[in-house]
Amino acid sequence: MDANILCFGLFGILLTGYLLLEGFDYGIGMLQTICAKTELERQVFLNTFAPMREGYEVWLVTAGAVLFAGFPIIYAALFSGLYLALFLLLAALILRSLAVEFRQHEKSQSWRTLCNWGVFFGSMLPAFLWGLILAGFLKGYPINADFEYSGSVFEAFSIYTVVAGTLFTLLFMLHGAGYLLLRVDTSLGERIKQYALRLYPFGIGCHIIFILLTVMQTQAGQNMPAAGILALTVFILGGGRYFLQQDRYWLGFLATTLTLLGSVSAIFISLFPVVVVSSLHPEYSLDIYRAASGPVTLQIISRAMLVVIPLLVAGQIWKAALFWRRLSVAGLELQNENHQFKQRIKLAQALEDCLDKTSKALRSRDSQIINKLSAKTRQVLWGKQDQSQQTDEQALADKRRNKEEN
Amino acid sequence: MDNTAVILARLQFGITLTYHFWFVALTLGLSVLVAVMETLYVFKNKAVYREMAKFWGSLFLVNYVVGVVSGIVQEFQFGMNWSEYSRFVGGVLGVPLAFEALTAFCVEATFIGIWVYGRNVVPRSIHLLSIWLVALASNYSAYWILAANAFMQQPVGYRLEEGYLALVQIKSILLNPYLFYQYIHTVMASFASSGLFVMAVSAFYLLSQQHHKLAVKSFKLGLICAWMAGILTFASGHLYTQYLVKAQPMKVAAMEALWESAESAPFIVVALIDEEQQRNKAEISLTGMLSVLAANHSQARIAGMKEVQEQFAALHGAGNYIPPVLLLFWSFRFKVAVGLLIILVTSLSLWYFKKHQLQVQRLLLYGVIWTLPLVYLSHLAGWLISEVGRQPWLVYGLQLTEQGISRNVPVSHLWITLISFNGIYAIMAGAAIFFMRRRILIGPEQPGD
Repeated sequence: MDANILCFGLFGILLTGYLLLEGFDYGIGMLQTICAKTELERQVFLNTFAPMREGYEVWLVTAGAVLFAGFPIIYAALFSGLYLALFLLLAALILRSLAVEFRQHEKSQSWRTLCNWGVFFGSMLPAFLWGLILAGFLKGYPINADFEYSGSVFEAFSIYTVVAGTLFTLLFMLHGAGYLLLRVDTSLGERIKQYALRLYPFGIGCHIIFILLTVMQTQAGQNMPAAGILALTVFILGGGRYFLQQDRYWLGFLATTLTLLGSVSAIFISLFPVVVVSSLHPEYSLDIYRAASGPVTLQIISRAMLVVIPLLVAGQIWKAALFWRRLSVAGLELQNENHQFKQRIKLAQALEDCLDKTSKALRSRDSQIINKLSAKTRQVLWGKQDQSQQTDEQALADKRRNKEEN
Repeated sequence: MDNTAVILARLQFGITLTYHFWFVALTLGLSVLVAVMETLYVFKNKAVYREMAKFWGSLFLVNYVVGVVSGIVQEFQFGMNWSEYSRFVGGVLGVPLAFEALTAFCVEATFIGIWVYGRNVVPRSIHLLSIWLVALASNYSAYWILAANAFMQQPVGYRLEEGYLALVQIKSILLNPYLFYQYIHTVMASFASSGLFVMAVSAFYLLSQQHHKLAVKSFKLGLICAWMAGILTFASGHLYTQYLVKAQPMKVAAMEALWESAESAPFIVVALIDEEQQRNKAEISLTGMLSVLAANHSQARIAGMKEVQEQFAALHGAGNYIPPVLLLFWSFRFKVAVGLLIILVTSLSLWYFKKHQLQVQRLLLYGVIWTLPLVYLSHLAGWLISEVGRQPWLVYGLQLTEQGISRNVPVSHLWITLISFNGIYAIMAGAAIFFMRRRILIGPEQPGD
């Protein structure tokens, strides 16, 4: 196979992998503010992806690095052209990471609320921006003869790309809901399901508008296979709602996965071998030959990807299986109680130790300690004496007498 | 050409790099130290080691999060602010970055989750394995990243094709001699600062007489790490500089403020530098010392800045090829001073530790704590020398810095991102320091999760 096609295909797998995996992550991040009612429920939501989060980010970082190495001209043109959009994306990713990681460090409600909104916006912005950026590939960016982005970043905004951004946001939410239904117990799941069912018509509607606009406004829309795939994804998405109603959650999750997969791959397939359309002149469009690095580079990173991607997938499946269990509020409460219980045991042990030492001191007639103890404590530790009006001296005298008697 | 864009882009890159490295430095060393603690726990099965691993692990994690996040910014910045540069070198420089993501970050990110959340999920052996994999992968990833940097310092294994660089051999990028010195020096410096971090926190506990058992054990571990790494950093720095005399004579001449070429070149201890007139107004110097240090021979000839300038001008056309001398000169002195301080502090600590008198030496313990911020500043100084010393080149001998920036990004956008990113960095660092500080104040006995 052509080295350029292979390398670009593998890059596509990385990017799609990122969108699929972080897709439900972002979805959950948005749903936790809308769907969850208590902090414990939010924690359950976030716990469904917490151990995996960093693993998902790998896909983005790797895709970025591969694009840099394999297709530096695309990388340079897009990253500098979509400057502010990428800045927002980065800021959102940072916000999200920090909010998820630092959320548990502080128990106060205001901090939690702040972090919850951090997670929400940190999830919504990337979802929206990815839709916007990917649709821009179809719509075209002002790429000039030097393969540079010429013009303002605001040219990336149009009705078409905003619709695509909204579509991705909705798809990610549905995708996230589908994933949550697999990972949380039924009491929470029922509510998520109701939300998802209400959200589905919007998703489907938005998808249909997106397809219509694609066919009407872009060259790529004329590409039959791509249009076919896009049309198919509408039916799959419809199927997703049906399966959700039937409580067949695995199929529902598969439906949103296929919808995302189909939409992203349709974007790339429809343009192939062009990656980014130039809105200025078709001659200036960036394709996988003109924008690529030398053959040595492509070969090396393709080989590395051929080895690593299967390993990465295997590793992440293994890890997902490791942490795969249905989470519930009750389970989390139990965990918290367990934790508190352990604390209490520790306290009890400490107390036992103190008491032990004190009673030893009492037995050895250490009056210093005896005087400091309250009458009640003395009674508990000593047990025998009449608690009513004994003074400390009497207690001592008592003690001595007892001792002598013994 | 308007200079503002270049300055802003450079400032942003420099700040991001330094910021990223401050967190990475602790990640590189502390991950290994935590892995050692975990190993001790698994094999000796003592509660104190478990407590240590948990406590230092929790500090490590706060730090790790910020390191990863700022790393993503770093990756995006090549394309955002330096698109001309990215187009020019992407085919070569992207390869080590791609390999870093594919072979190192991959492993790191997969196993960090297992280590954090898997204590009660996976068997102990796999839990131990996962922290070792995180530690090794992060140190291994540094190799690829520094390979990219070494390429910018000393380009190898490339070919110019239609105005772009094309890769000829990945092997030469990985075996770049520059990389060899740089890697050891950087990683050892990271280990020294991580060891010192552990020592400083333990010293705080010793001073306030808390958590005695854990503090002593941690101090010992940090001490061994910082002492060895401190000496190795210094030694590798010496060899690195000797290598620089051959590889980048301008950098060495600038950081030694040596204007004129000289046989038996003097080592200038302090100087009043006049960059305009290209001379030192006053200096205290040791005759012949620089030749000895740089080339092991008191009569060795060391090229001065003026001579290298002429060579560059003849080779690449007219222009100023002298980096900011004042900055490099003092950065270098500061760095060397801190290096000596680390060796002094750790050696003294070692001495008193062996005599079991550490706790009485309150002054020394305070010294350990106050050395830590200096070490972080010396990281900054080190990168300043490495990156500013390469100026005006972006890729040494191939591309000037001003040729590398994004031509299509307006200055206003640069301002927006510079200010916003710095705001974000400040918040991020603030949060990280706040949570670390609180964790330290609460102490290790409080269970982490």
